[in-house]
Amino acid sequence: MVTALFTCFGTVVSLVGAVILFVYFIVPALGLIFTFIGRLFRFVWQALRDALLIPIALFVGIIKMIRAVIYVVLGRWDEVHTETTFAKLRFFEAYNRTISFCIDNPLQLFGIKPPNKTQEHAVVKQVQEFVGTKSRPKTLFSGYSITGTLPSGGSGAKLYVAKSTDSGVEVVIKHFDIGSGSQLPQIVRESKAMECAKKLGLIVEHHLDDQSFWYAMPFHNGDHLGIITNSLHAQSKKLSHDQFKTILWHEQDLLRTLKTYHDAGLWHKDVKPDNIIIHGGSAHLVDLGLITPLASAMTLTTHGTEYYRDPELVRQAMRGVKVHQINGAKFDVYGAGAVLYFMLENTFPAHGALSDFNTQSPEGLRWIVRRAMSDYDKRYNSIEEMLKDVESVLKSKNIGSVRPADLPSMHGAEVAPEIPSSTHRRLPRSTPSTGGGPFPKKQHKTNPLGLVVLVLAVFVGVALVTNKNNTDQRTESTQTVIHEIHPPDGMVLIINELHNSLANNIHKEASNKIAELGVAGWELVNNPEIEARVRILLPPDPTTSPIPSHKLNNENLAGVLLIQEGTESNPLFYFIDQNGSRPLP
Amino acid sequence: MNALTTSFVKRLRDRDEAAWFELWQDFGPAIRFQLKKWGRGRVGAETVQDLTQDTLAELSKCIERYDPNRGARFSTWLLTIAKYKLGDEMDTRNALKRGGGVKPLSLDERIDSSSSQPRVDEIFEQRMFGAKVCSAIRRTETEVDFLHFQVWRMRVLDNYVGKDIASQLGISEPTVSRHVAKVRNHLRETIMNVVMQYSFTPEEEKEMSTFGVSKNDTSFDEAVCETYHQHQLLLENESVGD
Repeated sequence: MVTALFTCFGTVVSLVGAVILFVYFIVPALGLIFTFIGRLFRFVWQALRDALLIPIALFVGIIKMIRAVIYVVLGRWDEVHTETTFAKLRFFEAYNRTISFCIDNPLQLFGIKPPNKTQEHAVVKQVQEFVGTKSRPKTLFSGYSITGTLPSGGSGAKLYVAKSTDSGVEVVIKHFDIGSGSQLPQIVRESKAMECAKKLGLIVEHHLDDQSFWYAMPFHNGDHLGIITNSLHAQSKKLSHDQFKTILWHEQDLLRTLKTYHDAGLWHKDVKPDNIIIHGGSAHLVDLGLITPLASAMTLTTHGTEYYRDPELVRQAMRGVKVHQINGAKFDVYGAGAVLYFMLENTFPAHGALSDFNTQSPEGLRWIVRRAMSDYDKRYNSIEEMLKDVESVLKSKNIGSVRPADLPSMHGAEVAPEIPSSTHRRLPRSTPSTGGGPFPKKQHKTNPLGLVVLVLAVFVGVALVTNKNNTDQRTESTQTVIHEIHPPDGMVLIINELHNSLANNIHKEASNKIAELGVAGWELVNNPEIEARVRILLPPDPTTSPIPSHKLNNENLAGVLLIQEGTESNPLFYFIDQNGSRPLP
Repeated sequence: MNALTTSFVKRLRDRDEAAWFELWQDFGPAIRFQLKKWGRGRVGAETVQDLTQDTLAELSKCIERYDPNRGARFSTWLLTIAKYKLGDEMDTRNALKRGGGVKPLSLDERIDSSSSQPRVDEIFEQRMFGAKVCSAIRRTETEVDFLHFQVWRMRVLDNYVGKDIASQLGISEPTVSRHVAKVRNHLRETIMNVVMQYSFTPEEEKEMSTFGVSKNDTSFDEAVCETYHQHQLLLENESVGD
């Protein structure tokens, strides 16, 4: 009995021991063996896979890099970007696989997990996603198939060369995409410029949706003026008669184009060699991104390109002058002068209007450049005036011998600007300018009737000069009076009491005077809310009584500009501050 | 400080954009050149442009603290700020390498410290003076008649003889001389004004006499011509460098 019990106990203990041995030793050992065998299989598989894919990834990467270089040569910038991104991805993949092959996989064989594995996968996935979105936008512009790309400009928009599927005509498409980083204000500004360009028939088609904006313009397949000028100067040290003619033809084309802009009430604002394409022997002004209406009520901005942009534009923009308060066409004149300088010198005018001429060129042409780039109120009044000078040089048999004295602008043959003068005010300058003329022509022969003609001429001249002086005095007196009024030290609120039913010319006269004061440095504001508050503060007769200074200070004002109807229905201006009321001329 | 300097400083203190632009136009190239020289290729053109802008902006701020008794020249003042700005830029770049967190010296500390005060070399002084003369020429151009200025320019800057100018412009030789004299007198006065405007010390004000404002016409014309062409060359080289 006792033996049987011992036997039974021994059996139970053995069974328990066997179970414990099986559960805690044999099963884990078997597990380890199988895991190791599994890892071994995986290692072999991964090693084989990596060994195969590393050279493939390197090969594809190199091919992509070669393709990128080819696209650089072809100027297909967006393709360059895509190809380099693909190449980067492949090299990154090759690097990752090499690391896996040499370090990660052997470590994994012994159960050691490599760090950042998941992070690397995320990076690869991210790059893949990025590349995935970079598919060529062949179907992006309905009705057009993309045939090439152009380098992007300062606006950040993409430029595509495309062919109309209907007519086969080649166009340039400027594409803004919010998804690709274009900003909404940029799109708004560009769409405004496009609306202007439409007036000139420069827009073939346009499209705007929630995400993107694009418009198509005529494509001029040629080199820009910078390249053409370089090649002109590379031919010889000294420009020949024919080369001067070529330069002047290009300038003539540019000026004619600018004239059409100005006639349509627009200005280009970014005239520079890079924006002039020579195609079919003609110069075409491109880049419509900054076109602005001359009568725009917007504040002047400093957009443009240094050395081709008048420093006066920057100065006025910093003063917060409105576009309609200056004559924007004159800034295009400056740009056209700078372009002519560039063609003559093969370099940009680093010193503005004072830039030196180091290449031999006719004094007549230099004069045109200097006149175009001179001070705002001394330069050509219009593009047309400059064009006449350029055309007169072109017509001469020997361009090299053209003197400044031979230019039409030097004989007082000034072309009246077609832009209504009332909308454009002279900037405040101290000294009036003759603008370089008129000058007498050289007399080579003595005329026997010379004395009689001389006497007559003296009488006529005296009469004309007297008349002219009267006119000048009238003009100058208005200018002087305006400048005599010192701009108040702070904001001036405009209170306009002219009735709406009054004739348009009275309102126009009033707004001209406001613009004039603005240009003279007055900081004028037109704010209905402040006006409502200030009207309560006004004394019973504001045209004779002062406004207490503390009341003006409360509104941060230096004074009030009151506009009232005069006895002859003309506008009367009063400046009222703490010192009282003063009528303005 | 003289009345002209005081009024210009007041404009700067009042944040007058036109005064700022004037400063940028007149002295921007000289400061850019100096920063490039100090940077020894370590700072790119864009950074130089930014640092120049920062220098002039800082000038308008710290000018409020300017003490005329310390007798710093305008050029030294500008140069010190430029060096301070460049030092800041280099400190920021090297911050991680050096462990970071070290506050750079204040501008006043740098000005007071004789070791950190930049040596205003002769070339920089010449450039600064060139900038003043060119600024005066620019002002003269805007203030006198276009024809008069062009006649003066052809005679003085382009070295044409009076006869050729007369022939080119269809005017008489005495008229050429009259126009040249008129612009010369205006320029003399403008140079004096510009130099006074940018002079913080009596020593700087004396630069005019060294330059030859009071000398005879020929010497004055020669001095203007030489300074103008030197400054023009600097601008061209500086632009090419960009």
